[in-house]
Parts: sequence; C-alpha cells; structure tokens
Amino acid sequence: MHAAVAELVRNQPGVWLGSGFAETRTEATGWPALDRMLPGGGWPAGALTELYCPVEGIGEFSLLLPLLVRLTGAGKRVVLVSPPHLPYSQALSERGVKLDKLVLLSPQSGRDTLWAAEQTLRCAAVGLVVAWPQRAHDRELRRLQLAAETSGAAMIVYRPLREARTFSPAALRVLVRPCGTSSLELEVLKSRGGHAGITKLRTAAERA
Amino acid sequence: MHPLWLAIRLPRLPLEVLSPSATEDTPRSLRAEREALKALCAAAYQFSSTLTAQPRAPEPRIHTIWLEIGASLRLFKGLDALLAELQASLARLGYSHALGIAPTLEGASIVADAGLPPCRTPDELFAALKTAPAALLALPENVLAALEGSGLTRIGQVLELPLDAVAMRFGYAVTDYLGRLTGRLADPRRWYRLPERYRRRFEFDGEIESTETLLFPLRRLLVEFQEYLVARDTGVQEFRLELEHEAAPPGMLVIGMGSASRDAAHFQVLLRERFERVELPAPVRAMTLAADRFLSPRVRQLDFLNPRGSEDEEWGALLDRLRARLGHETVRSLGLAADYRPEKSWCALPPGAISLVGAPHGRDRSATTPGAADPRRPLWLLPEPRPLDQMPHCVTGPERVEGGWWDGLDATRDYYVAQSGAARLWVYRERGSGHWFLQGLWS
Repeated sequence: MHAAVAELVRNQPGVWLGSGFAETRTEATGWPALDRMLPGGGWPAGALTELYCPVEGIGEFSLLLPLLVRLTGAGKRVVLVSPPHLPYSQALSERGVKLDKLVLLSPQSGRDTLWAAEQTLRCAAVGLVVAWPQRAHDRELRRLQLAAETSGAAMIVYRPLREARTFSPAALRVLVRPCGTSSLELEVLKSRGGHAGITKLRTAAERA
Repeated sequence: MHPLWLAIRLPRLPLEVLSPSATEDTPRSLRAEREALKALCAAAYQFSSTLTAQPRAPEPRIHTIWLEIGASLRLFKGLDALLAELQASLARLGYSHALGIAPTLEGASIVADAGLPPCRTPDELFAALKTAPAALLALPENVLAALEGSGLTRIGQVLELPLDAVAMRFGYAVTDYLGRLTGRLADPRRWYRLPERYRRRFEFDGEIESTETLLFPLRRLLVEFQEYLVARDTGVQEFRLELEHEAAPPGMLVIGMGSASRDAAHFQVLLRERFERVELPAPVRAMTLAADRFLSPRVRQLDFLNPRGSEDEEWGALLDRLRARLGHETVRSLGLAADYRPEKSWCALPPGAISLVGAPHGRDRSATTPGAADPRRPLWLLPEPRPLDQMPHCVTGPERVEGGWWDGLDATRDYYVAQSGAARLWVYRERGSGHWFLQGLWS
C-alpha cells in the first residue's frame, strides 16, 4: 500500500486494516505446489490441521516427511501419537529424519490419545504433534486447537474419512486422495484465511 | 558470642494433624503429632543444624521446635531475611505457629508465647521477662498455682527470689528451669538429625475410597517431602507411595522421573496422572510416602542465557507426566538394529537416545545396517508380518533378504512392492514355504 494511502486509511476511524491473516505463522510443507495453495505458504503453526484419507498406503504420511526432516534437523521434537502402524525407523532415518528427536506414544485408549496429544502440544520443546485418534469430538478438537494456539506448534490430525462432513474448529482441512499410482490429489476443504482448491503432488519419489 | 535461639511454638498442632472435621473433643493422635513434628524439624533443618523438639518435664501442653540461629544469621543475610524464609516454609506446611527469639531456649518460648519482639542479648531478655506474666513459665500446674497464691504474678518477681528459698519450697527442678531460662545453667538436649531415608506415614480417620480423595492429604505430605529435600539439599529420581488397606494386601506405587527433582507440584502432577490408571482394590486406611535414594537435582542456573535449558527441563517434565499416566513402555523413541529381517531391524529406546548400531565394531552405520545401502523401505512397518491369502500383484522386485540363521529364526525372503487398488504394499514370499506375507505400507 502506498504510504500516503496508508496514512489516509489510518486516519479514518471507521476503517479497519485487515493485515492479521497475512501474518499467519506457517511451516513450509516442502511441496511447492501445496505451499502455493495454503495461506502463509505452509501448514499453519499454532493451529490444528486435519487430513482425511480414504485408504492407507497411498503416501499419506510421506506428505509430512519434508516437515519431519526439517523440524528434527533443527532440533525440534516431533511426537507421533497412536500411528496406525509402527513407523519404520530405518526408512525414516534414510530419508533424513533425526530419530532421537522423534518420539512415539502408543496409549491404550482413545481418550488417552487426545490427552497425550494435548499435553505434548503444550510443551515448548515440541515443534509438531501428529495424532491418529480413532474418533474425535468437537470439544476435544477445540482443546487441541486451543493448545496449538497457546504453544505455537503445529498439530496435525489424521481423521477417518467419514468425519470429514462434521463441523471442526481446525484451521485447515485437507482431503488426501490417490491419483493414479504415483501422485496424490489434495483437496482443501477448509482453510482459514485462504480458500478451497485442489492440487496434485507427485509423491512417486517417496513411493519406491 | 552468645547463642541465639528461635522457638517455633505450635499451639494448635494436636488439632491440625487431625482431619478438617475434627473438633476440640476429638481425641489426640500422638502418632500423627509426632509425624508432623518430624516433618517440621526436617523443614527447619534448612535454617540450622542445631535444633531440637525434645521437651523437658513436665510434659508440655504446646509442641515446640528450637533452632540455634546465631550461627546461621550471616548465611541468610540477617535476622529479617531468615525469618521471612522460615515463615514462608512454615506457611507451605500450613501449621499455625508463634515465633520467639532469645539467647536461651526457654526464654525463646516465653518470648513467643508473650508475643514479644526478638531479644538478641541477655539484657534484652531480662528486661522482657521482668514484666512477662509468671503463668507463662514452663512449670507444673501446682507450682504455678502456688506462685500465684503468693502474689508473684510477674516472672521478674520470681527471678528476684533467693534461689535456695525457691529450691526449698518447690524443689530443684524449678531452680534448674529458672537457671536454664536465664542462661545461668546450660540446657543440653538431644539434637535432631535428618533421617537418612525418608518415610512419612499418614493415617486416615475413616477409609478413603477414591484416589481423588487421597490427593488432598497428599499435597501436604509432598510439601513436607520437598522441605525435607531442600533441607538436605538433594532431590529424588524415584519415590514410592505405599497404601494400606483394611481388607487387602498393601499396594505400592513407584513414581520414577527422568531427572532428579524436589518439586512438590511436579510430584503431585505425576501422582495424579498415575492415579488415573489405578484401581484401589479396597478402601485405604493409611499411606506412606517413602524414598531411599537421593540425587541432587541439576540446579537451575543461567536460564536467562540458556533458554534451551528450560525447554529441556519442560520436555523432561512432560515425559515424566506421559509415563506416569500411559506407562513406561508406551513412551519411546525408535532406533536402528543391525538385522536383515525388517521386523528385527528396529528397536524401542527411551526418548532422546540414539541407537549405537555398529558401534561395538567401530564401524559406521552404513557398513553394518543392512537397509542403509538397500532400496528404500516403507514408512509403515508391520512388526508381525501378516500372512496373505493370495498372491499379490507385484510391481517391482524381488529383493533377496537372508538372515536369522544365527538365532534359529532362519529367513530367506523375496521382497516385492505390490499394488492393491491405490495402496502400495511391501510384501515378501518365504523361499521355503512359498507363502506370501505383508510387512509394510508405502504410506
């Protein structure tokens, strides 16, 4: 904005300058096409992101790999809560994830999964929490969103596809679909400060 | 340099050790009073190592702890600073108290009871005693009554009497007391010593049915524990809580921490999380907080220059909390193990640890970890390979993996990447049997 115009606007008591959204803190996803689509150019930090995936084994976790590599490399802790399978340490290590910064939590109950996610999210040493709750209610998601806002860390939740239609306080909701055998199609269902849209990522390199 | 004694008078202790619902008519619990006194002594120990709670005959109505603080004044930078810290410590423990300071033990008690300002010298003490009521003397009831009957209402008047006359009339015990009060006679006691191990028992009036109800009395126990640790200038990495039941064998909860601590609030958080997972087999009659091994906590220093330090501390506290509630085995990091079989090529480690694969031979990881030079591995692993009913649709492969002949679990497998709908699977065929197994997902 031109300085003179800015000055003029500032002096108008009835005008509010909406710059807040542009300053959303984000973590680059490592996928240029996806970054271009998301407000602030990445996964929202200090907010809840939801990923919906119809089937497993299509590269849905590889999506986060660049972020895992970058955060653990920078000395930030990354916590995985209740992943559906055992993360293969050899594969993660080969791709550059620092294993000593990665912590795996496997609570017995669904309630404990959300509790553990919230606890870890509130810790300043943690940069990213990824959780796979079997089901999550609006209230629990709101708690996660609040905890993320307080701590500034990113919270990413993988949710079953059937819950994509329910209301959620998440800042970003993305549907992850397979596209052929070597790509993913990402549909942004909701994006606070951004807009819905679809993009394709070639994830083949991550998939043997 | 004469000594300076601080008397901590605890007039309401017998009532305060009982449950909040107790009244003046509730019978005393001498055992609970003794436990509380022990805790108070441990807390007071941080201010002086010369202290005692040992009363002289007659059996006193009021519990008292005496500390020699003359030697500690310089350490605490003056009387006011020492008193402020002592008051804070006593306030945390939550017992009502009165303080008195004088050059003699008995003098300090009277100064406390009369609510007089500190007497730093024998002269100041004499001046104070002169007008103090004779009823404050720690003498048997019949002696006090006789003094009052003779019209001696001030301590000053009693002290003016010729000693041999007092001895003749009331016995040598009284002249001995007066001598110790004024400092003419020495007043040796058995000094308190901090116990080497910590054990604090707490008995409930009734039976406690829920862990929720245990938390309230526990708070005080944990604060006492903290004061004890501060007095010893140490911490613990592990403590235990023993629960006694009326109708069941005793139970024990062990609380372990990632690093040594002496923070009552942290202890309480860990216990609360643990209680979430505990079912009481029967109502609780009593509980004991105990610790045997002590370890100095890393003292917080230079936080301001090193923000990372406090972050690490927060991380340690978080891991403690997670372990307390979820169990030790559910909080882990993943490491690498030198084995060709994928299900054995990983290991669970405590968070933050680094696996030392290959280290015993002094070779680097890539030389001994089979996967390092091999084709890529999938992100999800099935630790227990799942048998497949039919032959999968293989896209790439095979990759021959052999190993296990050394531990009897011989495995010769051909690995393939298979396609099933949109999903990519990591499968293998066992060479011997020809059976197919699913071992991973390209997620």
